[in-house]
Amino acid sequence: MKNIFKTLVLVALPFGLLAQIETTQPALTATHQATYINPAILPAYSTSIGTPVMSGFGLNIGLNGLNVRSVITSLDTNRYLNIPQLYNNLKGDNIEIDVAVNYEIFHVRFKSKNWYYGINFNTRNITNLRLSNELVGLLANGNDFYAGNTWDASSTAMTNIAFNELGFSMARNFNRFNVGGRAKLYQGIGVAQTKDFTLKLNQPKKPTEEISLNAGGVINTASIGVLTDSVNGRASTSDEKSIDPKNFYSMGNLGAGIDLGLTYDVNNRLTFGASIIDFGFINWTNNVTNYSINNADVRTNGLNKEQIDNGQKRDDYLDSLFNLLKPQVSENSFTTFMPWRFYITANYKFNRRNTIGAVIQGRYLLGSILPAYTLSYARKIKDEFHLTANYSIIGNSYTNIGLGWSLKMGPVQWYLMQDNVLAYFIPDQFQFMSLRLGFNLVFGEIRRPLKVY
Amino acid sequence: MKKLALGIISAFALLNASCIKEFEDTIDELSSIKGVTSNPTLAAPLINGSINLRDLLNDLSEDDDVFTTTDSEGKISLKFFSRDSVEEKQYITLPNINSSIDAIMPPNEIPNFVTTGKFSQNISKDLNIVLSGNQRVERVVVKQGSFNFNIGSNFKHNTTVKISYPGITKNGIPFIDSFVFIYNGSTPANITRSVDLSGYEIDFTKNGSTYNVFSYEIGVDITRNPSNNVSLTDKVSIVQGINVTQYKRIEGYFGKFDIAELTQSDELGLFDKKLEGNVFVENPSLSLKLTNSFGLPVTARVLEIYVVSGSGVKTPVIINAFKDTFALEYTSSIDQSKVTEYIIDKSNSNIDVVLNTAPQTIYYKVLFTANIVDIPNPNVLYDNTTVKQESTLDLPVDIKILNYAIESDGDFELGETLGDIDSNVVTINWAEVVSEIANGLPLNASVQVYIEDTVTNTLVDSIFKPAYLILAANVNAEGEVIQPTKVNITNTINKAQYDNLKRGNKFRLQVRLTTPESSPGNLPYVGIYDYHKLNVKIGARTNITYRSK
Repeated sequence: MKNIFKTLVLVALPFGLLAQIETTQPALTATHQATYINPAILPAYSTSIGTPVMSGFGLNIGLNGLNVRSVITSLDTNRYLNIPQLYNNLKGDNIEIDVAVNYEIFHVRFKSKNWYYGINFNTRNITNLRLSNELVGLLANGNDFYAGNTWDASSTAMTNIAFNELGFSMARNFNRFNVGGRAKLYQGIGVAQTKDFTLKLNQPKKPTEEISLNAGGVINTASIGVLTDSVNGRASTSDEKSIDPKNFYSMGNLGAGIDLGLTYDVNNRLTFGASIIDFGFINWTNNVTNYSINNADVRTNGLNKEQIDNGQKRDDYLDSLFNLLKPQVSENSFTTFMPWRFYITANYKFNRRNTIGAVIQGRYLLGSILPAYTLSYARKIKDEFHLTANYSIIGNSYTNIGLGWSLKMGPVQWYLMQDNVLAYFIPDQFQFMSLRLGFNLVFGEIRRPLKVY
Repeated sequence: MKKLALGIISAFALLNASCIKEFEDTIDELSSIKGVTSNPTLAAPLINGSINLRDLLNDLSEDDDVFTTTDSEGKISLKFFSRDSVEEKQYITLPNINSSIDAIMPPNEIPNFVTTGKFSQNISKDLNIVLSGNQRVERVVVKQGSFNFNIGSNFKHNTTVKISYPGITKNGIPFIDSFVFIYNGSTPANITRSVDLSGYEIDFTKNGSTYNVFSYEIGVDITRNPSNNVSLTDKVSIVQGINVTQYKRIEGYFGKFDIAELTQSDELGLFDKKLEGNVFVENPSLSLKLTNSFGLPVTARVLEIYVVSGSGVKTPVIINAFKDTFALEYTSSIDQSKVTEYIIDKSNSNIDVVLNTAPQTIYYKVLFTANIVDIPNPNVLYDNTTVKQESTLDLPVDIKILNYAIESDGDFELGETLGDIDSNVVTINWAEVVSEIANGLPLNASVQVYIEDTVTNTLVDSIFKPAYLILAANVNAEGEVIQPTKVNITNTINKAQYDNLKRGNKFRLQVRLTTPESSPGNLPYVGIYDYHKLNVKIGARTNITYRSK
């Protein structure tokens, strides 16, 4: 088991990229997959077909607030993880764990007259877990640590969305502009998402005074099974609690989205680009469950004499406190919005083979935008072999160097991208792991004439 | 180109290979983690309540007959309650009423009887009931009794005997009975008969004109049989007897008699086990509440009252000689009763002095006597006649206390509760009990909780070191509370003490009360009211070490 774990980490670790933040792909324009960053990018081949099963696989794992070093330096001499030390090692306000999986089942893209059309089908999973550092703080120090203050873990949030994506794309050139778009049909597989989460503990200065806990929020789920023993007073059935494989293809949870992109040639060397990706939603109606706590305000200043004397009244009192924290369960449909992204790019071509670029990108999720800034260099070593390297600042991480290439051998184009090769050297400090690789079948290289403006 | 691509890919592979050791080291570090450990301090409020002396005494009392009350001003009284009653029985026995009479045909009536063939005779009779002394019986409603007859006729003629009892009625109808003797050549057999008198009322007053008299009338009718003569010895013999074994109601006058002696005792439970020092109660009283359903004058006389101290010394309560006897109210209505309350307090006795000796038990004996002056007057008794005595020893809490310890005990389950927690996983390093107490009672209180092991019968430890001393509220010259006393105490329980506590299985709470001196050497009486409260807030801090397995 240990070896399996090692192997998995060793394979995945070099491909560093913050989940949903892609720093290498924008510069590797020879691949069809670059259009997932900006659909206005015109492909280098008149036809691109994703090889079945191997068309593309992307895995993104991101950590924020802690890394492996945070954990290792929190171990005591007996190899126990010292939670108070871990709490001190945490950075920022939250621990964020992002995992995104994007499996491209297939794609077809082709040119017809001046238009480029494409179809793609992807299976995706996006997981974002944000844990307030104060959750660790409470475990580390206990509630007395917060005497006279409010312990607040309300920034805790979670989103997990699994869905299939069917996209139809179009792009073409209009003089200095390239415009492109992709309309998407989302078919939700399953979801769990928090909303308006509140968790606060008002800890009095002295333990004799009233302590209060404020809790609220909603967890919406669909197609992952009911998590409680009853729904609206009715006992949950075993079928309701289990995950139904039919959810993978059921059309009960549908949504729509759009990718829009634009590039503009300032002159024959400098090109600006902008795009917005995954701007959409899924409306969940199938096997939905809502667990809500309506701003519970649980207060206690201890037991009174009657409760001390009477065991039944004591139990009733304690039950009444716990019941305030019992979620109400309902079955109302709900909508989740996609974690949309934007890219603003600038590329300067020194000549046909060498290009430098800059990317400003951001991802919106859980109420905030995570920005990233990238400087890249791309070289077309041969017509068949494109290589790119970049440096990025992602959030508050400054040690991100990415590398990627595409290699065409016959009709087969192999691409591999990774954003954080420094993880090779400092594996205990990596915060982002990313991998995108796959094989395309490409035909008909398009040699566009060098424009002169 | 292929060479270049292969070169880059190979460089990538080499880079991977060169870093494998670093990866492995990192993974080894992560996979060598045995678990997690933490050292939090937890804090929570445990108790926020108020208690007054009434609550405290009620909690500590194990006897349902010991309770507390408050008067209209809220002053607390401690009460010891007991009850007893005189047995329900037939206090009066009615003697059997027997009568024997013969009816003959007078000789001068025989010729006429031979001529007419008919003879009739009426006899009226009054029987005097003999009772002792000046007792009288006027009316009896029979609950259980019988009327027995043995009647015979040796006339050689047909004879009818009819007996009427105007004083024996049921639903207003007098009792009448008839006996018929038919002569068929031989003397007819005697007729014996027994009549159930249950529910009959027997009047012994001849319509209110007298008492102790039972009246009846006999009618004899003889019809001649021509073939037979009349002998001078022929007669009708009538023997009758009334036997009333139980009455439902009896009226008359029943003379002077002792009803019963009731002896009662109150275990002064709180004093018995918990009092070590001296408690002085300013206005104690013993209330005797007597419920009388006797329909005659009843007098109660307190024969004796005394208390017994812990060492067995008896101290009598001396009641004013003119006030130890009192008359009970009475009723003449069926199923009704009258209540008389008699109070023994310091105005008619020395009970205040006696109770301040910290007794364990109080005994008293009361004799109930009927018609004590023995002058005839209307009496009525029922089959359920009784006297019920309820006694309440009332101790209004105007007290001064030199040293009064109240104790309560119960199961202590810390060790059992924590038994499920693996001590290798959770270690309690220390605990603090933080208390904020506002004492609105005009009494100093010293609080301690002892933890004991009932298996080895040893004292394991105590919670507070030293005992909490909570000073009395500030009082004015009249002993009225003007400001509560506040105290904040933090009591740390270290690991050794905690380990001791886990060995105990019983707690014993001891509250030691004392009255503060109003001036040096002067202990005033202070009244304790319902609104005098001890407000208690208790919270706890606990520091633990958690280490997962």
